Amino acid sequence: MAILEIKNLHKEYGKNTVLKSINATVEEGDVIAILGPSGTGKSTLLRELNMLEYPTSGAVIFEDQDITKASEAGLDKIRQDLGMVFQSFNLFPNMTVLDNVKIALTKVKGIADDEATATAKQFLEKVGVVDKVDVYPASLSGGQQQRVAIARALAMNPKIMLFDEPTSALDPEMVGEVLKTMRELAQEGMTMLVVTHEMGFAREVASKIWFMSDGDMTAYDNPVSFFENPNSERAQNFLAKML
Amino acid sequence: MKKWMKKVAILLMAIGMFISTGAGVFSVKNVSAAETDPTLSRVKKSGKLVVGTAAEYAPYEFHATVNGKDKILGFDMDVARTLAKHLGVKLEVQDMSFDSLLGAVKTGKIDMAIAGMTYTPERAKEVNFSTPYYNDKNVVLTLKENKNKWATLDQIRGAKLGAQVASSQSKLASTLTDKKTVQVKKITDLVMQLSQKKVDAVVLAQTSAKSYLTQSDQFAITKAKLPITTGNAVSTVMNKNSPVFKERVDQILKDHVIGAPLQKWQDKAFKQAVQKDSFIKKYMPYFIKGTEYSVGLAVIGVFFGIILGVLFALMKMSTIKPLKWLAVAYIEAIRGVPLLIQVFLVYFGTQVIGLDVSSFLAGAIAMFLNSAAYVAEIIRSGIQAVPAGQTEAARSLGFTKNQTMRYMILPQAIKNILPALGNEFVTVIKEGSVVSVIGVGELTFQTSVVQGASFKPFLPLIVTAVIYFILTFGITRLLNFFEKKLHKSDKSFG
Repeated sequence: MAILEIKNLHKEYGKNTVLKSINATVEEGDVIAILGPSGTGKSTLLRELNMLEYPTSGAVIFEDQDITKASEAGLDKIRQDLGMVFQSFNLFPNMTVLDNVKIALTKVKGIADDEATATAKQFLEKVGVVDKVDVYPASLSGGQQQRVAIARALAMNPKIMLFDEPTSALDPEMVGEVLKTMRELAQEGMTMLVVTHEMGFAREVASKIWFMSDGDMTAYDNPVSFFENPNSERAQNFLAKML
Repeated sequence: MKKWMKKVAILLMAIGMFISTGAGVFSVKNVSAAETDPTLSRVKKSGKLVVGTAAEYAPYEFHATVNGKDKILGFDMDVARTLAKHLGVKLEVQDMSFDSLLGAVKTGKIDMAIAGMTYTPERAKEVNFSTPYYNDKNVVLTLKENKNKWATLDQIRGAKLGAQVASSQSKLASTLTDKKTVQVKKITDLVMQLSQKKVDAVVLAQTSAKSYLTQSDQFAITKAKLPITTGNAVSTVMNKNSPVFKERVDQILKDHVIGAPLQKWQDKAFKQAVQKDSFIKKYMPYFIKGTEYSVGLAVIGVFFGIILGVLFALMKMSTIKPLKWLAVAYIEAIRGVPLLIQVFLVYFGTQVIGLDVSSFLAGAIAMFLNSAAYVAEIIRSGIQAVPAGQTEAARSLGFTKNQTMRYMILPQAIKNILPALGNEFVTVIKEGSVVSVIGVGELTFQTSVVQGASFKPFLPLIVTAVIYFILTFGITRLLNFFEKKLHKSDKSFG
């Protein structure tokens, strides 16, 4: 069943067209790897799914509602269901690890403090940084920070997780620990959209590939067919460079 | 933090008092009944003579610490005591600023002003002058080593003379010499120029000149005899509508003051003015008072500056164009005009629109209006320095715009701006010296007072410089401490 539908999504910055009428569907449980060369609109597409950026035209249907037309208050509600993880982690530096995860639970969801603490610790345990609850983000490694960021998003119990190049800012030796966490999440059946350059991860974990190039998007329902037999020149060139 | 709040509370009370005293003077002005009531009957009825003075003019009248208590001494006080005694009443002395004495006499707030006041035609239009009880001759003060060089009027023709600007002495000086005279606002500065040999001699009233002689053996009064017409006739000042009172006062002055008694009192006053107390002990209260005002001005300036500054910062970042333009216009206008001019604009501008604002209040208003523009820019840059990713992360979790501002952006922005805000506070403390021009009793103003009272032109400057430095350095250290505390979240293991 389609959990998210993208209809004729179009984005222009001035004269520059970034997304050219994209159409796509996300099924529950999908793990979609969004691949493609840099500057082809991958992140823009992802950010338009929770309205961090607004499309020029088109619709994003989430649970039978066009969220491009949602009110500000409605959007605040919808965003709780769309967890997001950023390239630069974006942890709140003025809060401890625990508070980073907890604050949305108490302030947005209105959950009682002790219950929120328990939930936060549960998710920090899940991503393997529960021993760091009382430290500030600046004293964590990049890999640890990103795993806290994942825990922060997961604690809100989202229906979809959006990952915007989650390993691009990490030192190579830390990429593995973050990908491991994401792989576990995929195995649990979380619906995920992942903008990434990690071809190995895409090949192993993704159930679908969206290949983007110059604002166009081609969806491959079978990752193997994309990697083995990409029937477009642009995809072939991309893979030749990446693999 | 508590002490801070206490200080702010005290200052707000002080503002209140300033406003209320200002209003008090204003309302008394409107009571015309007091002017028609003969002063003498009021004095007799109340059994006391209320004398106003401005005790910053040694040896006429000056503050001094006697047996640990602050007292007003000076030969004018002996004159006052004698008048009260022979009128058969008690004496009550009120210390106020020299400028407000005439108004106080006219409104009946005081029965008489005794403050080394000399006759001028302008003053005589407003009040009655008693018969002069003392003629303060003009003399030529020079360095001891040059005492004989400028001993005659002929010799003085070749001297470079200094005198207080717009004084009777300055007119006199220009007739005495063929050279151009140096005109300076304050006598202490004149004497400093003399000691540094920038002028050859200074023309000034004998009483002031003698005070310098007692303070330092560097100086001497030349033998040159100045024309007798150029004295300074010192009188007491009374309400115009009390001729009988004036008659009585004139008689007492003639019988019991003028001549030998006054001479005796003057000698005593000169000695008292040169107290054995150290400079610091004698004048510390002035510096403390000035420091309180300076810090108070800065606290008010920055406190209201922050409130107004936040407003202007938000307006400048607003998407509503007219608000944005207003904020930009205000900030640019304030930053483009010197604070000195802004202080005058507020002080005289409030008068133009019919508001009776005390100089302290005007100074404080000018300070925070000025500070607001700078604080607005500090806050705006602080908020904009928080990475956009913070907003995105918060919004993606479902935080509203306001929640994001409150929990993520502002706490980080405050940390960003604290050093700059501290600098602004330090700047405001220093720039507060500018408001001394409108007579606010802050540190720079008090320095002038001490220069005048102590006859020392340089030492008070040093003391003031040290106080300013301690204040600014202390605040900087304090802010560094808080900054470190705030930045504990930034510490990394590496």
